[in-house]
Amino acid sequence: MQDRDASPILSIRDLNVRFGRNAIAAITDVSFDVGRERVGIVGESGSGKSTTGRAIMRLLPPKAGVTATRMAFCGEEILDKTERQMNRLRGQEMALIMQDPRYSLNPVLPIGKQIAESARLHLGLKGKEALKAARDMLARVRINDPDRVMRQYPHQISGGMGQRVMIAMMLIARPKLVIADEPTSALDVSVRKDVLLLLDELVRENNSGLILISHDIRMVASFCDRIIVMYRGRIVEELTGLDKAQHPYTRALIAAMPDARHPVRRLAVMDRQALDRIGERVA
Amino acid sequence: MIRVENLDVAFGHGQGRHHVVRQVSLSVARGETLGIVGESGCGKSTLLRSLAGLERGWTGRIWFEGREVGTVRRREELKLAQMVFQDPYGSLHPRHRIGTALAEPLRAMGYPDDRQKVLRALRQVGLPADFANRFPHELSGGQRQRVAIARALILSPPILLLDEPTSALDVSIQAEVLNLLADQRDERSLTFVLVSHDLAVVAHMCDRVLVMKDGTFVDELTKDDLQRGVAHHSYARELFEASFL
Repeated sequence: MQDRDASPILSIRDLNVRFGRNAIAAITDVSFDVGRERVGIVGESGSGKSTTGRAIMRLLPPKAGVTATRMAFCGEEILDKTERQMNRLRGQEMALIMQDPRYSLNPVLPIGKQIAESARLHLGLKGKEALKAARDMLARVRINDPDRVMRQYPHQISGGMGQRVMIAMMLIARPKLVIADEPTSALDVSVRKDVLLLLDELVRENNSGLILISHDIRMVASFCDRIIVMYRGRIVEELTGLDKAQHPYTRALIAAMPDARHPVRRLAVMDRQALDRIGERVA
Repeated sequence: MIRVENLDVAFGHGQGRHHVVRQVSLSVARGETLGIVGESGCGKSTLLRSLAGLERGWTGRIWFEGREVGTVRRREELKLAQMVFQDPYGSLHPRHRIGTALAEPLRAMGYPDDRQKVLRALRQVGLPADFANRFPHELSGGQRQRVAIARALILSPPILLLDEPTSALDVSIQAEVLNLLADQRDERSLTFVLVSHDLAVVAHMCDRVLVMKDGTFVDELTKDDLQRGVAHHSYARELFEASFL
């Protein structure tokens, strides 16, 4: 399926977020577009990558002041929408997959019911139909014994399986935009790859856009078409591959990672004062 | 320096019995850094805790510096190996100042409270002396991990047991902490056992890596193997591929 319209799914210009009367802004002048592609946002803790994701979903607490000259989802301004309109949008048109399935699944509800709820709300299915859709979706995310997992509770399944369930729940409505916030950070390395490939497959199938938020620049680089690097609430650089990194922060980030194939005696350490001097010159 | 023979750890009884570490043997030479990689639940942390003397339910034999140690340790035996945990926030008392936390091992081992020793330990890990008056929540994650390293080193143990020492840190901070550990190792000719799920970190730090799965070692990799990306066991190969994703 070729994308018929080249217009971006999400278009953001000059997004600013400030919590309360905090002197330091959480996000400053962030602008980017997301089409039917996979875009990665990388940065260290506190760089504003998750806040960006939440601002798009309008999930930040009321004390967060969010402003933007444009924040359009499929051509419609997100910030102008009422909470009711947002509720319709969330889950149906845009979905958020979070880090730890153990915290984002309801612990007292069987898996099947939770996915069926998603089918009921977003696909308008009822009773048996919703359960059948849930079961099909579980099979779709390659869970071996969907009938058994349907009856199980979140604590009875492994982390990797939990993340598959989350993906099933979020993608059953075929949203146009999927935001995955550290979807594999809580998982073991061997499971990570499967979950990422699965996510990729489903997103391509639905022809949607994907924003992958992660601290792991290597993983993002091997998975995404474009990488947005954030530092201290600003976008410092946008690249298509690690070898194209120009900004000293991105380079320092890559150099700080140990690599088994290219051993060094000492790891390169970031010179934060030098980075801040560069930041001041730009600002 | 460290020798382990047929170490076995099991939790629970009867039906619920869970065999976590199965007949594990290993040895580490003086000044060597041994890495143990594996996924959650493979028994790597339990193995390390048994070495540290935190786990009492093991069977088998353990030697430090040629001396055999039992499940219950005496002070001299405890002083031989100290441990650094993954989450420094969980391993530092939230209402004790850093100075108090650092003096704790001295007090526990029956040494007099020596303020100078505490300040020296702080300086050695690259922290200013006035941090002794701060509380753990006033420090960043990387600084807290430095404190944890200082606390482990204050008794001058010849062996340091590291359980995922940088997993909770950003890569740039991880680089600083790994450099600090490497410097201390060279300076004091320490012997390390480093447990991690991150093959890249282990490959960077270690001379030799054991791959653990379901309580046993399935593969042993030398530095050369790691560099060339060679693994002998299918599971180790899988780990390799996943970490280079």
